[in-house]
Amino acid sequence: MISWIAPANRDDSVFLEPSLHYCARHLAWTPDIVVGDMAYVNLHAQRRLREDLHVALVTKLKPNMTLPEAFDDAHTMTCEQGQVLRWLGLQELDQLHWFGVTDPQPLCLWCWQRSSCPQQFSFPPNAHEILYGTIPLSSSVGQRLLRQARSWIEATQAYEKNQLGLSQFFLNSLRLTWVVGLLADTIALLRALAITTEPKSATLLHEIMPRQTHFDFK
Amino acid sequence: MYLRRLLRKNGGFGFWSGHARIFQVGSAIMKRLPTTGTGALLELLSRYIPDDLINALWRRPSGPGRPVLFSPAQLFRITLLPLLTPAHSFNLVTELLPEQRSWRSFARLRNRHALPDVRMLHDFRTRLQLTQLRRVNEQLLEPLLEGTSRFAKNVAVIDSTDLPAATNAYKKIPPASTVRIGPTPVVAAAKRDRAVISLATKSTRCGSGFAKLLPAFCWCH
Repeated sequence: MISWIAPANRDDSVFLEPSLHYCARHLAWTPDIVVGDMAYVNLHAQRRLREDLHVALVTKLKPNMTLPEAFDDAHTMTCEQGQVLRWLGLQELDQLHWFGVTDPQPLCLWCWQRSSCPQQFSFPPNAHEILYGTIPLSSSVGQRLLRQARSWIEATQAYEKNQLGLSQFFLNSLRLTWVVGLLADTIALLRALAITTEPKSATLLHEIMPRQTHFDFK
Repeated sequence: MYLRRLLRKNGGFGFWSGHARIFQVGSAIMKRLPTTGTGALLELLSRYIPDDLINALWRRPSGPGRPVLFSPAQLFRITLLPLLTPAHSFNLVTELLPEQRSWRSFARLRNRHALPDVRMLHDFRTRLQLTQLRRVNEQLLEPLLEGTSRFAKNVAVIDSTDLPAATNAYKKIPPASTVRIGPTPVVAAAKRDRAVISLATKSTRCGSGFAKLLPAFCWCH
C-alpha cells in the first residue's frame, strides 16, 4: 500500500510512476497489472511502464480520444468487412497482439475476400497504449478488470474516510494530513495482517447447511 | 456551510491477486473482523503492531532533561486511537482515555492516573517523520507481499480521493476542457462582431490634442 498526500491542485497522473518506482525500489516488488481510471491516462507514461517495469496499466478510454481505423468503438474491433475480432493473445517474442475470428457463425463464410483473408491480424502494443498496450481494452480480461477489480477501490476509500474518520479530522496542514494518512495505511495493513494470519472461525452450522449437489454424468 | 476540499489523499494501492480468489476472500474478511471502533478490534490488532521497530525508530537518547515517562510504542498506539475509535480527534482521545479501559489496554498504559497529556502527544507527532512511518508500513507489508508470490498475476488498483482541509493554501484547479481546443463558431462570430465595432470606434476622428494658442492668452506675452 503506497499512499501520497498532495494538494488538490495537483494532477492525479503524476503519482502513478513514482508509486511503481517506489514499489520496485523499496519493496522489490511491482504489480503485474494496475487498474486506474481516466485520470491516470498518460500514453507516454503507459509506454514507459510497459517497457521498463513490465507493468500493464488498464484504463478506460477518454471520450474525446481518436480511435484507430480497426475499431468501431472502444470495445469492438472489426475487420474491413465488419466481422468482429477477438483478442487471441500477446506474442511476447515479437511484441504483437493477435486478433482473430472466434464467432461460431462468422460472416467470413459469405465474404468475397475470404480466399485472400488471413482471418488473424496483428497489431503492436505501442500502436495505441490503451486499446492495445499489454492487455487490450476490448478483451474480456480488460473489461473484467475495469468492471470487477476497479469497483473494490470505492469500498476501500469509503472505509478510510467514514469508518476511520479521515473526512472528519481537523486537517489544517499538509504535514498533519501526511501523518494521519500514513497512520490510516498502518491500520489498513494491520487489518490485512489480521485477516491473513488469524485462523478461520469455523461456522458451527457448516455441516448441516444446504449446498449445491453435483451430478457426474460421465 | 460550504466545505472546500483542498487536500487529496492519493494512492490507495490495494493488492489483489487472482480475480476469483479476490472476491471470495473479500466477502469472508468483512464478516470475520470485529467492527471498527470496538474493543475487540483493538485487542485483535494490538498483537500485530511492531513495538520493537517503533521503539528503535523514535527512541530518544538518554541524557539530562525531563525523564521519558512513556515509550514511543505507547505514544504511537495512542496516536492510532483517533482512527480506530469514534473519537476522531487527538484531544478528545486524551480526554476520554481515563474512562476507556480497552483503549488503555491497547496503548499498554497500566495506570489510569498516569496518562500522557495533549502536549506530550503533540511533541510525539512532531517527531513523526514520513520516512519512519513508511518504514513501519513496509515492515507490515512484507508478509503480505510474500503471500502474493503464489499467484500468477498481481493486480493493483490506484485511485485518489478528496479530504476536506481547514486551509486556504491549496485551491483545487478545475480540469481543463478537452472537448474542443479551438473556439466554437458562435464565440468566434461574436469575437468578429466585436472586432468590427472596435474598428469603427478607432476610425472616428479624435477631438482632443493641442490647438494653436492665441498670442493674447499666452503668458509669455
